[in-house]
Amino acid sequence: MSTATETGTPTATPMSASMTIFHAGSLAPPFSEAEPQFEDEYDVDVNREAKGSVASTQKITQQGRSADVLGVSDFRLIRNRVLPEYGDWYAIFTTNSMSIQYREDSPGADEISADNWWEVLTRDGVTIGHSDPAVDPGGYRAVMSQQLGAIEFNGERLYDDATYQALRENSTVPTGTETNLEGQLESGELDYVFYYQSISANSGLPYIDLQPEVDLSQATSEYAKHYAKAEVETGSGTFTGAPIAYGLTVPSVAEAPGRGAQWVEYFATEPGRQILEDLGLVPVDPVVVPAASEDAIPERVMNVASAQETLGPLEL
Amino acid sequence: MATETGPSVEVDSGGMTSVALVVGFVVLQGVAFAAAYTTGRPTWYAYFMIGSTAVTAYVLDGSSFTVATATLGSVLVVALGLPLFMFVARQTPSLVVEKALNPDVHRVLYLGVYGPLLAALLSLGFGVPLAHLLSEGFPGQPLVESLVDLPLVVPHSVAGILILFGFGQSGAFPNVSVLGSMVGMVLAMTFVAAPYAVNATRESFEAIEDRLEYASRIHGANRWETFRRVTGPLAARGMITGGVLAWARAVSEFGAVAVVAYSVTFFYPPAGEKVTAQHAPVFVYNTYLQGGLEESGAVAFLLLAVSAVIFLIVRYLTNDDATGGMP
Repeated sequence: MSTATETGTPTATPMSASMTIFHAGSLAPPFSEAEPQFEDEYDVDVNREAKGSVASTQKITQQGRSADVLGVSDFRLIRNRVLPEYGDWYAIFTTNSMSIQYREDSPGADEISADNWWEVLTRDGVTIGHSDPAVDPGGYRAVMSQQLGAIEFNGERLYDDATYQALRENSTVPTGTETNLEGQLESGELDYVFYYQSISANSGLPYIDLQPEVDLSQATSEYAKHYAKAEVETGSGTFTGAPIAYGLTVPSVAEAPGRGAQWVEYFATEPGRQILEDLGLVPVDPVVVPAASEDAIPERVMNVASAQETLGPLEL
Repeated sequence: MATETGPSVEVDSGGMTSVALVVGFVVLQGVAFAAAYTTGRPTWYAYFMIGSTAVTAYVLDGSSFTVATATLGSVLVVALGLPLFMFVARQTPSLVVEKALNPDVHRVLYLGVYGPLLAALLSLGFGVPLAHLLSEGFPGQPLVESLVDLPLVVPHSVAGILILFGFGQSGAFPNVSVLGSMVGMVLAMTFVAAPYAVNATRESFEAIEDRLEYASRIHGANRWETFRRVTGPLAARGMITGGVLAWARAVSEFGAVAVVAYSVTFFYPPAGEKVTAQHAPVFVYNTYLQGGLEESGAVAFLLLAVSAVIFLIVRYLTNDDATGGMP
């Protein structure tokens, strides 16, 4: 029934009483934090399904399922796989950074700091874990972070190629998506894990806030050019380094697109931004939408967004 | 051929007739399904399958009871079979062949059969003694029973975490490496599969008449001999059923294995060395993430085919020696 009433002009017609959101696991903390407030404010029942970014995207593109919002940890998934068949636009609404989490009793934990992590992590017998680069953006980003330390930025680099090789040798891929890493770290099977700072900042375990030249957090041209020198080859293609830019969209198969647009607006404005910040993410202010698809963007989103052709060197 | 030996004519021709009947019925179902599927009306096939079963039951037996059980039973068979048939029909043959020839897929299938086999053997090796004890009863039995059944309700990814914490570096056996190892994979599988082995075996022990065991003891056999010659063989079917269930449960396990042993390094005889591969369900899921439904469907189809063959072989072997041929 919502389909019939909402396809025309979402803002003017009665809104659906419930909505569905598919999102990346790393968006679960901010989204679950926002859910009750959003439900109160807009009088709607929010159903969320957290899964890997790729899996969330494929629910729409492969399984023929419908959601009113899709949120992923790499906007390029929407740009390359959802558009144009299942959507017309997207908004880049937050960035994140890579970090290293460990236990108090991880080998070398008492000495490790932002200035020597590569030295500690390359010691014999240290086990580093990250998710699978072939199936999870968090996985290829972990490898990119390791690569970038050995690539010069402004004439300096953190470590040499041999150190990078040693990092790779100590690295293992114990999981598809990052959600299992924390448990594997706590069980003692892993000593250090590479994942998003939004996860490490909320886990209660110590973590290293990495250098901006390796943490993929800076959405500026200067850094983006540097990040683009990292390249990870996997069974599912080659991934090039880029700032971690999360994307949101209201898929064209949405049953309650008006509700979807409200959710995007929520995270493009103060209440949503505050939640993102509280949970260790870095909101993009104002959210960036591709200029080319300006016509397709819901009004309430366009009002709070900035239409751009590029994000740093990244084409939108 | 059937007429060569006089006395067995009756049995043989009966057997031949039933084989012919089965083949005929299967062919009929196949044709009906193909017709329904190609015309885009699988619903018709569902009705046909139930209807044809009812008619067949009526023709073969005629009693209202048999017709009723066959008809109701066929509803469940439709619910189980139809999605599988449609899944098979949807496959792209060229893609299935491509996957079937892929050495990576061979490793996955090997691991997907071999790992669960170890888990099933482990479950039986220690589960049969436990099942025997449970069938005899002992003080505190309900506690042990509950503990055995508990893995059935533990969410699978939680089961994986439990294995990591139980047997990992900070657990009971810090020297054993469970993460990404064959040991970890088999432990995770055993955790979720063992209840099936124990419960099925236990039921078969319980079904044995106590008097048989007494008789054996009275005739001078000690408990070991009694187990070896009387209760063990009588419970063999239950053990095999339990083993098959445990094996199948382990084959299908995704959650616990994905947490404990996402990629597993193991010795692979065809290569003559250690290789790294993923358990079949994990591989199928990753194939889905990387290549989409079609590709993952082709791999899942191969896993299904291998499993079906193994099921049939086990059923064939056990039907033969346990009861001398089922009707």
